[in-house]
Amino acid sequence: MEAQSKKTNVHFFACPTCVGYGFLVTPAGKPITCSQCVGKESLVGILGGKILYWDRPIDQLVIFEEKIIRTVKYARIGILTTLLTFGILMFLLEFWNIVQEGESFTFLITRRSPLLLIFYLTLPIFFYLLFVYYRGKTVSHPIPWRKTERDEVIAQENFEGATYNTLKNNKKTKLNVSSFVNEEVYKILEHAFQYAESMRHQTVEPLHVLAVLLPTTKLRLIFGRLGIPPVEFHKRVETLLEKFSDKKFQQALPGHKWYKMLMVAYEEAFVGERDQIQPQDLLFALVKVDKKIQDIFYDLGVDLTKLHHVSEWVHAQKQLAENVRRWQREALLKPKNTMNRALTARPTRVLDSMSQDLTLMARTGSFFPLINRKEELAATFRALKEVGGSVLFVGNSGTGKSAVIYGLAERMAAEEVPEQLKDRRLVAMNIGALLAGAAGVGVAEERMLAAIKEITLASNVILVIEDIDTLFSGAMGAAVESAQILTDFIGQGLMKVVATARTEEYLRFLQDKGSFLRRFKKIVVEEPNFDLTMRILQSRAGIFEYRYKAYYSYDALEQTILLTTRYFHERYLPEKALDVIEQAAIYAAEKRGAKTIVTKADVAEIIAQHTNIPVKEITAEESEKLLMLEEQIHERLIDQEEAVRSVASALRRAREELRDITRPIANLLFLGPTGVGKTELAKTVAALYFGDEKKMVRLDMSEYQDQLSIYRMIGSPTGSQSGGVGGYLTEAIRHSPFAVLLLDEIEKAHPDILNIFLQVMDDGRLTDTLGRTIDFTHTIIIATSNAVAQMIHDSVRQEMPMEKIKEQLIEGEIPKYFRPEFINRFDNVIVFKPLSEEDIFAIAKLLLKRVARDLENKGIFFSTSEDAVRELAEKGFDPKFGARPLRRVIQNHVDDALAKLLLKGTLGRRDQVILEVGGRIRVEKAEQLVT
Amino acid sequence: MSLQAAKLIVVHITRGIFFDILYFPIWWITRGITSAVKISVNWMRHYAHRFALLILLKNLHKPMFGQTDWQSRIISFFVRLVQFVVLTAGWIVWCAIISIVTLVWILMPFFILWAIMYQLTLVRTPPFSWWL
Repeated sequence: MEAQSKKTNVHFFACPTCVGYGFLVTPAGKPITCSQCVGKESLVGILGGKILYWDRPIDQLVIFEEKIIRTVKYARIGILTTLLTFGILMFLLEFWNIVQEGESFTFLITRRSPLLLIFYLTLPIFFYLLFVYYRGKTVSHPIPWRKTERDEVIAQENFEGATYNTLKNNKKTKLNVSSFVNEEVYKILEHAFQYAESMRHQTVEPLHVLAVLLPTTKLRLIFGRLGIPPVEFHKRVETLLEKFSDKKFQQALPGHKWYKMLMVAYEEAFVGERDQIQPQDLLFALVKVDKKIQDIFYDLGVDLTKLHHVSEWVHAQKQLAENVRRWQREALLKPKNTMNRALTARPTRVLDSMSQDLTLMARTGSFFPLINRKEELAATFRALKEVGGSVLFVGNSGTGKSAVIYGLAERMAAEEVPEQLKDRRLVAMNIGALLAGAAGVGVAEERMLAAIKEITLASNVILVIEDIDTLFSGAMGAAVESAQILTDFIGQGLMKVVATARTEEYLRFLQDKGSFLRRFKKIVVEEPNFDLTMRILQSRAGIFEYRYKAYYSYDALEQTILLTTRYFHERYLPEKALDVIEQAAIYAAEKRGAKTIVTKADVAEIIAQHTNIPVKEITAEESEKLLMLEEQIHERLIDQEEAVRSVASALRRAREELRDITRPIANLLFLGPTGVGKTELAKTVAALYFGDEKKMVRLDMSEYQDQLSIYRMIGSPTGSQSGGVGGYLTEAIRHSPFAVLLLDEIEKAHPDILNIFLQVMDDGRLTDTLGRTIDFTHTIIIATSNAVAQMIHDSVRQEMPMEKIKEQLIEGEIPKYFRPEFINRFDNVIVFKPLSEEDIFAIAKLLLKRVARDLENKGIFFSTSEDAVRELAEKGFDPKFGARPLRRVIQNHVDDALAKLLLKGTLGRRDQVILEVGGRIRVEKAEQLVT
Repeated sequence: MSLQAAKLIVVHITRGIFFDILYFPIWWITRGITSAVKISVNWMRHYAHRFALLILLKNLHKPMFGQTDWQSRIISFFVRLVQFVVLTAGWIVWCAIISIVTLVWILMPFFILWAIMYQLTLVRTPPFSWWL
């Protein structure tokens, strides 16, 4: 019978009679050995051409025997040590005697005495103990991962058509997994077995092993990082375990999952290139083999990948410290000053005054170890090996160009570099220091020349120039000539240089300097991917944890990477992630005190502070708010049910992240007559979703009616007069990527401009003339148009239902103004109704409420009678112009009068102003408190 | 249970004596010697690296401190030569010390055996007496 596990490459074959258990249970509950497999190798597995089996029984007898073996061993060592100590004492006594007698020390060998005899008899014990110690440290029988290529082993698929029996009888390629188990793991297995016995469980399952692993420190560390509440976890494990209780219990025996677990643990250790099976392998095996355990973890938000990452984290810290120590040891051998070991170099005084020796700094451990970046380093070595070969690191700021250089400095300090780079100094020139105190004409140039001369004569200097574009960009000011001198020298290939430049600056200033660039090998330092960033964060986490007294959960780091990738477009990994986790630690420690754990929520809070976007997980009250969006919108907008519903659904979808993140949040087209609330709805959306009504970028399309106006939108091309300047739209969105983009009167725009929006609405991106990609995926695009207003008016007057109006619009009217592919891009075409009298009445009330609020700020109370409002509404009603006339009416009749009264001083605090029919305003003075 | 335990204890003690304690001398002669030699060779190499012997040798003809006039070259050559000779001598001395220590280490068991036999008057001469 074959059973294949999804997440492991081991193929299992079980004895058909006992299904791999090795024993059968009689109806009376007594276990008897399986007749076919005799309880031995009841389950075997195939991995990479070898047959795995477990041949070390675990039962009460064996455990007992193991205990005895251990006791005997310790007793033996104890007795021998005592004897040795005794022997040494004897030696010292004899030594003392000889001293007393004043004889020469050779008597220690030539004299015959019982004391010396005892000493010499016990001396071998010392060597024996050394032997025992040495044997304990080395693994005599390691897992054979070194012999075979890993992937080769995993992929091998021999044993076609094999069955359990053929495999069991195959003597040649068998591998006994139990011989690779380390002491700690074995003790855990024994412990699990005893636990099962004490619980009276018939079969020993991986769950027992898990229960036993829980209290260990390493696991608690892993759980801590994962943010798994230990008590909660323990409870779930216990609940599952209770189900195994068996009344007819006789003795505990391992079940088939047990054997599977051990073989998968072997696989884990093999893949992880470990010499023995260790507790962490056991942990992974447990999770892979037992679905119930998987479920427990999954419920608590942990999958296998996360488990692997965190386990790596916990183990990597040790490795990192070891690496650093190794380099420091080697670096101590390098000379402390500027001379090289071959003594062929020359002192470089001028250069030293305007530079920093990075290799010396690396020697003293000033740099943080570089994580990975193997290819970049390899390319650097290759380039620098050439005579006059130089390297230029190009990348966005924060991706780690300087980090690679510091990594290079460390390796040069430890001499772990190719021959051509050995015994050299890495010196970073500081152009600013060149200018310091260089008063007078020509002083700076003199210095530069002197420094260059020193470099060429010294022959052991590799120059580092960060942001080398500054030498060309004219930002040097007074040092322009010095820069020229330097670039000339470099261009002639007279010295090795390691330079950095940011991508933007490279494109602007360096790309066309062919003769200069010729010397440099360009190495692009890309933003690290998720895995590498995670490792970088994990390696730095230690310092922040120590400094701010807060501990990071894995979730916090993962969330940082995800959110900064999504929301911080102007900055790059790993710098932006490192910045955020540092702030998150500070925030968490401040909020909850020392020794707190930094969680996802803390990270979300920091990101929200930067971007003003609600990225936190939706709280209960916010979800209530979201469900009541329509009501909230109606606090500012009257009627237009369909529009409000559409918009509310779009916002809900966006907030729950059920949307396509490669497009804008929503693309909406508002059609309708003027003054009915299209712009008002857009403003409301900005206020509700982005937190502020002002988070809106408004483009009046009537300004973009000709073809050339496209440049105003996306920026003029480089080379033109106003070249290099961004366009209105691209700059606005670049600075505020979370906003409503309102395109008013879109039917008036030039068709080329509409084409741009085709791309924006589909792809969520736009490239400006400077070559930058502007991200629109966090905008809500709302386009408005009055083009079909007349048709809507007429249809409404004819009392056509909205559905029909919309249909007619889409089929007949709209294609007159817009191309079908344009209309298609919109998520929703929303038709706004003209306002009815009732609507105007409601709007009038709203507007008057605003007036009342303004007066309340001055301490004056404002109220109106129903009739007065109705009168105003009637005056302001004109279906053609929507609500705008109403605003004018209120302005003329109410605001003006109120302003006059206020200026006259007739109104005081706590007075009541009442608007009555006929436009009259009555003032009720408040009671005077002071005479 | 206790009878079984006693039996096991006896079994394991005898095992311990035979397989462990008696195996030890065999291990010493085979593995012990090879690993001791390996360690001492590494030690010597490490010191060669520390004294920068190879580097000195390679740079024998290069002028020191970049001074390329013929007088400096001659001076530099001689200085380097002397440096090299002195450092190599020092290294050789170190190697000798290391070798002696390793030899003593390897020969220890024999010495002990001899000393025991001498103490029990089974031999007449004390161990390594000619050395004294």
